[in-house]
Amino acid sequence: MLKQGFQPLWIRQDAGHEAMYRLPKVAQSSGLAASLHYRLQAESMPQNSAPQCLVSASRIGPFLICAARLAASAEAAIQLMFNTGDAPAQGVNSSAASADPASSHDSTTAHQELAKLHANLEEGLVLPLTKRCFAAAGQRLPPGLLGLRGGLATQPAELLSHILGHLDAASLAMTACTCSELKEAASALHLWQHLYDQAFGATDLVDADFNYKAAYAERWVRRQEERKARQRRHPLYCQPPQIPGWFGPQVPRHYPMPPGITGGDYDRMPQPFLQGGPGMLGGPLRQGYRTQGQGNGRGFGSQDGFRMH
Amino acid sequence: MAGKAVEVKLYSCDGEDFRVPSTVASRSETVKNMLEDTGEEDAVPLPNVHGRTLSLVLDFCKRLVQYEKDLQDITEDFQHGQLDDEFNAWKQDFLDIDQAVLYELIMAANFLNVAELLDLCCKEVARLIKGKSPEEIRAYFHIKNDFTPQEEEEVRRENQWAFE
Repeated sequence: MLKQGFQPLWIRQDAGHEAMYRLPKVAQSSGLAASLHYRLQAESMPQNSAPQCLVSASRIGPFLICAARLAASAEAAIQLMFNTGDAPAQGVNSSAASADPASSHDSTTAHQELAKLHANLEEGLVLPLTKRCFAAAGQRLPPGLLGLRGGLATQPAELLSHILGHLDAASLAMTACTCSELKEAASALHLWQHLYDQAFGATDLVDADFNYKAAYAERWVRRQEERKARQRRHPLYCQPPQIPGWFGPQVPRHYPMPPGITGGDYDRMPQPFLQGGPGMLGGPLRQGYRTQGQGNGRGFGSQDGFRMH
Repeated sequence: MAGKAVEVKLYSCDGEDFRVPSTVASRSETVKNMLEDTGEEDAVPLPNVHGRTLSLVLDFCKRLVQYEKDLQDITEDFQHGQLDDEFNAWKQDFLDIDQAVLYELIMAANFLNVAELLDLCCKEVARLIKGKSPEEIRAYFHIKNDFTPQEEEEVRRENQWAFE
């Protein structure tokens, strides 16, 4: 209860810290029933309008029954029943909760029993009560309270850095802007070192307190500026490659070629400069082939072979 | 190996008990170490994990064990991709849970030391953060802005490059 900001009402303002957790005399003296007043103290609420609630606990035989309700409203109380002898059976919002038959386990110790009791109490009683209190005051549930152990910022540091390790630089910077705890976590050196090395290549700086985050920001900005400047200078270079469309302008491509070569199938024919043959046009060359086939022993395509025909 | 037939009993903090094969249970390093210490017929109490979270964790472990078994059984290469796709689709379904449950799952995966699950959940949270502005992140994750205006301005200036 105290963790959620409930203030016990029986404490006088001038009481010291030692009195904080001392139960009122009623609760101490009668072992059977105890009722405690609480007031929810949240910073968003004014002192006088803070909802009060009543928690009563009573014991009947081996059972412990907890009931909690708002002092001002006639809503049904949230009730919880535990079998303190053994495993707790809980029934929320029902007056008759059935208790499971006691099944004792060897491995469960009294300490675990207590931990169970605490977990159940937290789940079943405190959380709904807190929700109701806020609803009664007409306010939204404060952030981070939706799950008692929930909330991104309340995660343990190692888990948080595990999560943030999966983020890219921009998202990490955004996360750092949300709250001070996350800022601390998202500014961790190793995260930014990794990102920096990935984006700009590993540095061989041995300096231990090199600020990778600031360096990343600086290089990032410089890189963006360079990119923009390049785009201004050569707008065409930076355009994304276009897929040639059906109707797109057909730009004739110019391939630089050595002189004397026309391209196409002609180039696959024997080249004239091999043996000083005729030109590249078909006629003489075919003659040349024939002369060679007749076996005159001269080089194909030679002037003599041409004359023999 | 007789390991398959052996069943392990796991107790969550609210007294629920789960019976799982020891191959599944030993996906969790914590449980594995406990089993090695105590012997497999013992029940393992897990005082930090709630029953509904534990059942999710065990679901994941079961699926993971099945996936790894399938991987060993396949003969053709193309089945590899098929299995991967199936497993990824299953993961997507698995992660379709409430945010609070997701956090509990992360805590449980951390405590039970299931590396695959921890990685999966952390990636999911990171995926939720990605592409959001600070205000959106605050609203989505119920984070309270505890900066003073000066601090806020300063941190904005520091991270101005990311907003462009």
